[in-house]
Amino acid sequence: MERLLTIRDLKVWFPVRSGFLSGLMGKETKYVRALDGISLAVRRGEVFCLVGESGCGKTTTGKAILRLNEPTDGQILFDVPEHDWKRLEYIHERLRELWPRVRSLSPVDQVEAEARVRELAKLKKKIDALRGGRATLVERRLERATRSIEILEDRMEGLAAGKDATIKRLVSRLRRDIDLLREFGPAFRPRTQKRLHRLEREHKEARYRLHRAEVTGMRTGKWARRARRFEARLEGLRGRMSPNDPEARALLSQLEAELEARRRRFTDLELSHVRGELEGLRATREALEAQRKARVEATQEEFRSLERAIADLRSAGGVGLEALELHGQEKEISGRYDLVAWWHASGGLRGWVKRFRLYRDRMRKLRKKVQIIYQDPYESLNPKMSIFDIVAEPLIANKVVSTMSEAEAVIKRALEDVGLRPAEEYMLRFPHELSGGQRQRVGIATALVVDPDFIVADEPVSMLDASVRTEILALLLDLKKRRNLTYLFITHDLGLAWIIADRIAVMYLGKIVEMGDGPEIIQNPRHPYTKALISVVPSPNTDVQKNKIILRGERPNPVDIPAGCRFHPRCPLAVGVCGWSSDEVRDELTKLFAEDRGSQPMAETMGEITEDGPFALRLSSSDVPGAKAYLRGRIEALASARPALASIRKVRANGGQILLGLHVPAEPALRRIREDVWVACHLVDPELAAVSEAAAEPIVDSAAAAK
Amino acid sequence: MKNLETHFDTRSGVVRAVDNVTFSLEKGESLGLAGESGCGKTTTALSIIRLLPHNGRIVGGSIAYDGKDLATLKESDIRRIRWKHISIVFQGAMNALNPVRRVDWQIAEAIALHDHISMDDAAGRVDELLELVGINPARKHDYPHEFSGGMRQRVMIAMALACRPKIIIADEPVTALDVMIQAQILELLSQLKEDLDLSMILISHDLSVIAETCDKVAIMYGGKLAEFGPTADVFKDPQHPYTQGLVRSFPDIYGPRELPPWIPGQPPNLLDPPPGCRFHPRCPMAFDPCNKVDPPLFPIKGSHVASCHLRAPTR
Repeated sequence: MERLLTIRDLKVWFPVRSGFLSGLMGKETKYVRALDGISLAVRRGEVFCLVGESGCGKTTTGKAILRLNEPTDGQILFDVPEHDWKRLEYIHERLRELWPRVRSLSPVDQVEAEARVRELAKLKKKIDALRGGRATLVERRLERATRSIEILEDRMEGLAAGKDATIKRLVSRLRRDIDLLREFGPAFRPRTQKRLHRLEREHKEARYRLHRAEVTGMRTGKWARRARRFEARLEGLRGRMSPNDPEARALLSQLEAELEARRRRFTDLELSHVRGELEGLRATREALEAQRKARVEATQEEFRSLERAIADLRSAGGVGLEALELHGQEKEISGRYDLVAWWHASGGLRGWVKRFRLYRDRMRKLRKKVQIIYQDPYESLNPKMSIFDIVAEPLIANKVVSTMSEAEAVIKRALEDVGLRPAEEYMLRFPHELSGGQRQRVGIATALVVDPDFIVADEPVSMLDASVRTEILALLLDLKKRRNLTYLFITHDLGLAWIIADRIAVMYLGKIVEMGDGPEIIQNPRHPYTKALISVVPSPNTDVQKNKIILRGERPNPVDIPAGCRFHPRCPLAVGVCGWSSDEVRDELTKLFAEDRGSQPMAETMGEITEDGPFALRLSSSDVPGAKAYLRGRIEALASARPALASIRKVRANGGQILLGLHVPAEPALRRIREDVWVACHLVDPELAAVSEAAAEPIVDSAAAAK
Repeated sequence: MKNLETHFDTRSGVVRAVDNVTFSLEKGESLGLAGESGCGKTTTALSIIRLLPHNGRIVGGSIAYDGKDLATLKESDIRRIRWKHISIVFQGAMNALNPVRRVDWQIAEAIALHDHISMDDAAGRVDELLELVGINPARKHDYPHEFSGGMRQRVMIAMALACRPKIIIADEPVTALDVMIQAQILELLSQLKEDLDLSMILISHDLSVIAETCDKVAIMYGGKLAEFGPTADVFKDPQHPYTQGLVRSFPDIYGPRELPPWIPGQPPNLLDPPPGCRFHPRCPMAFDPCNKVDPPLFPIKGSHVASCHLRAPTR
């Protein structure tokens, strides 16, 4: 299926506001690492669920896609055409191959390659100019001349046929007089006209008064008299304005003759004028064409020599040049669709203005395609605005419609689509007059009204009453089918994800820990965090016997994220390599010594524990060899129950002290485990080999049989 | 509780928020109150400890507790029962704590007010209470905003436990929390129930939560009791069409992967409830007497009762 949205290594960090003084002291700014490098791809027409506890970065992802948050780093690629994708993928692949070799190049080579790339860019620019990317002066003049000739020719035709607008305008005054004479006869004067209007008005008034007096039973005499009088006057006036008057006819024929004479005079003059100009222009055009012909030969020669120069440069440039060039191309392609990179592109005031314009234009285009449904329908609708105004806002902001009547039709359709029927009844209501479910329907209509392709649904049902939830979900799925939408569905409810998700990504503290096919992940979770989350989802079925894995504590502060796997402090399955830092191990050792004080004689000889770097500890003891043996024994015995102890890799004596070396932590990468399942955990082995072998065998067999 | 009726006087008329609700809670038992929002769950709970807002009043029925009738007890007497015998964990832990007071002060205040001891004496018991609900007592001097949602909920529970009550009412204790925190809080509540021999009333619109934690369940609809009985019986074999619809409408992670059916229509307006059975306009099985006669509670099996004409013994 076609990819609609791809997120690559997206990071959103929010700076923690520090005091003015500590800023002056040059203290390091801390960041809340809300999103710490996530990558995912959403295919067109699917429901992609983001699940996780609050604060894991689900909503931040959703908002970053709409650029309601400023991404710190990474790429969000939306709706990139397939062929560009292939090019990008190829470039990526090639860069991955080249990169190790580029790194082995000497700095001198690098500098040289960069200079060559600049030269290449210059040559390419020249070629673009020659190719006609920028028209030459001659060509531009030629084009202008041709256009003028076309216009003049049109004009001549018009003049010959008597349809020319200028002539018409010149004789328009006479024309108007004639028209008036035809209609009203010679008695026509502006004053007469005005009188006529006044009389008509007064006549109408009198008749209205008369009618009212009759209805209410008051005296009618006065108004009847007035009405009669005005009617008589009007008739007189109209009679005098007859166009069949012989006097008027004479005047009319005279005027018409005059009009004809005048028109002919103007036309002749104009025609000779135009003819002269046209001849001049035609001569110019011929001269210009000759000039251009002379240039073409020279240009082609230059073009060829430039192409040769580029080919030479490329063949001499080697690995460094190719890598640098590919890198530039990558930027060029992704820059067109990338919503993050262009923001960081240029500096200075001019850059800022440019960026702002770009931002505005792009955002406008983008927000017609990507929309969001907010979590809380009680707070996301402005209580001062009617439903009509709320739904109309995105239409106006994105300039989708030009007139109000057009807007009304669109809004009506959107409201009826979300099941608020009849729409007229709801349009003029205010949010407080609707129930929670109806409000969320309005929220959905607001997102739908600009006809988007992609909708970020941020917990659209979690604020609703449980009994209304399914109704709204059914609506969302129905709309998806009817309007061919793609959803990024953010939820903390795995029960819900189970039902609607085609694919799921489970997030923990700004990272994706497990991602892939929805049903597979729910039925067969591999990451310990996913396992725990799924085990605690309550079920209305009282028969289900569950082994609940309740995680202790709360998620860590995203300002200082634990080293190694960020889930290890809460993980029930954590082992030594998961990334225990020296202070965690120190706490564990202190606890161990306190427990052992009674039973183990060696525990009492242990002195102070000091940190020796982030992943090493220093222990003082009165009996170093004994303490060493004791520690080794205890670590071996307790390793499986206390993973922090298992992270001690080395126990070494060093002049009256014991040095403890810990496993250096490594953050587990999101690895593909099998078809469409990615997991980030040290404990999960790829099943890929088994799967692909099983799939590969029959194919080989059949191929062999065919031979 | 027998035939409890609670009304609210509003400008547009009398809202019959709780109408003829009957159920019983034994010692050491947990009872779930479920239903859509606005069906009278919270009002029922507030009636029990007589914390109704000024326009609400109990107009009929009785709430028998330990030989006394809470519905008619004098205000001064109910004060002696409130918190010391029956306490409540209010809905929305975020808003129920005072943001400008430290957590330990707020807990001590509850103890001091109800046990008539000085704040200093009360402060001595705060550590013990916090430990009981699983909060490190070292953090007692924090303000509520320094606590996460789950921890604030734990503080609310600690406050409810302050005077060693016999019954604890938890009003939507896990609604705004994450699944993991939700599991932690529910585990804590059932643990406390065991350890302190409490009875518990759990109010929730989420049937799954009730299914996992309660012994008995009361399903309410439009201010009336629709069904009441042991949780396993009610969920496995629901007798009232509303309960059937409600149970079916919950997505189940262990069930089939399809959208569950839902109950169409809107809950009734309690200013002007429909005649007869309040559920009949939305009921798929409504028949002749449903729109005229209000069904009483018909016994099904043991303590399981349902208020539906379909379950009348004559049929």
